[in-house]
Amino acid sequence: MSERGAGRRDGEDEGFLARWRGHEAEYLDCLRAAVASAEGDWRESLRAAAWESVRWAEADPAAARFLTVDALAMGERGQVCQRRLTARLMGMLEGWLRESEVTPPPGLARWVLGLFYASFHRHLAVGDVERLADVVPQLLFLAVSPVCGVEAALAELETGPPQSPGRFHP
Amino acid sequence: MEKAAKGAPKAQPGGHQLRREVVEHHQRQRILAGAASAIAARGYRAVSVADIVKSAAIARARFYEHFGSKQDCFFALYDDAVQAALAEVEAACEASDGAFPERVQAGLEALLARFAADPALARAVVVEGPAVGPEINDRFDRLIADFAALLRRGRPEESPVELPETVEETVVGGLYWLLYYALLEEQPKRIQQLLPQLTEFSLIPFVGAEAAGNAVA
Repeated sequence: MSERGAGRRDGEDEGFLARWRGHEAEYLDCLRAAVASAEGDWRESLRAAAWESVRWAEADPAAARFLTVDALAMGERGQVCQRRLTARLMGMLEGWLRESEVTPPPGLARWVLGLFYASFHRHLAVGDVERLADVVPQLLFLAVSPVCGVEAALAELETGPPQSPGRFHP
Repeated sequence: MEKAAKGAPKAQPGGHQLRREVVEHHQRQRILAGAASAIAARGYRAVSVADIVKSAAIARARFYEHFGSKQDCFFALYDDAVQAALAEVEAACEASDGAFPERVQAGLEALLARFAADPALARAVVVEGPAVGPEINDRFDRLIADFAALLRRGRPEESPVELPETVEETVVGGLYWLLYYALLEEQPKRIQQLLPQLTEFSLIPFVGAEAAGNAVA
């Protein structure tokens, strides 16, 4: 690669990283605030985090799309950033499970993150942020059923957004 | 050129055409294998046509006889790999004599074996696919829909609970990203160890934890 080309690539990377850090910090702040205001066990925390993620995406679809979809088109740099964010989110979920004294089946945190990421990626990639809220109940059902059983998890299909206000709750 | 063996049948009209098609097919496969290696090693964004040509050990002109661009080549690689994986998973499900849980496990086992057998191709398609950008969206949606249809096909008609219509798509999406991270973290040798987890998580919503646990036991 020419010196000029390498310089341009470095500039793109710098711009990407600055934007990533900004959006990631904003998203994680919102998530922490929503979870802090949720009362109850790990399931309540997960529910609060899920709905807050949707509200955040609805409030700023470009930022949500950037973290979820566009970052991957940055190649290795984006993959590294996403991996770090995923690890943080998995750590949060594992922390909620520990606090609730729940021993999850192996790989649960990764499975839950995979489920949510898949739906967010799919909807945000095609600019379909409006329908994200529709899939949250089934995401929560799938996330909760390996721990609580199918019967108990069915309640998630009937449960709407939590009442406790997160930063982006209407 | 080799002399025709004495007594050998004369070349039939169109024989050259056939030979050319075989050569072209071989070249195409060679380019795709080179592309898989180069993309797995450097990533879709960083890799160039020159890298692919070098990896495939063919002349640049040959590349452009088959593909118009890097993206064109990648889509051919992606489509071939997805179709082959889908066919293999479907065949494994069909070959299983068991009930729904055993069929799901057989399908997942075939998929993981495929990834383990060709980790470069698995990484190039699964990890680097989303790096292409919006142009991959339709293909990605089709991939999810095709595998979801396979899962739906074997699902017991009398399900103990009524689930949302799109639950198979959601499950397949979750499996995709679980495998994505396993491949991203360069664990192709250990990827087959994920079978019990993947089977259990895929089955629980449809058959309950006990039956899912029995299937992986």
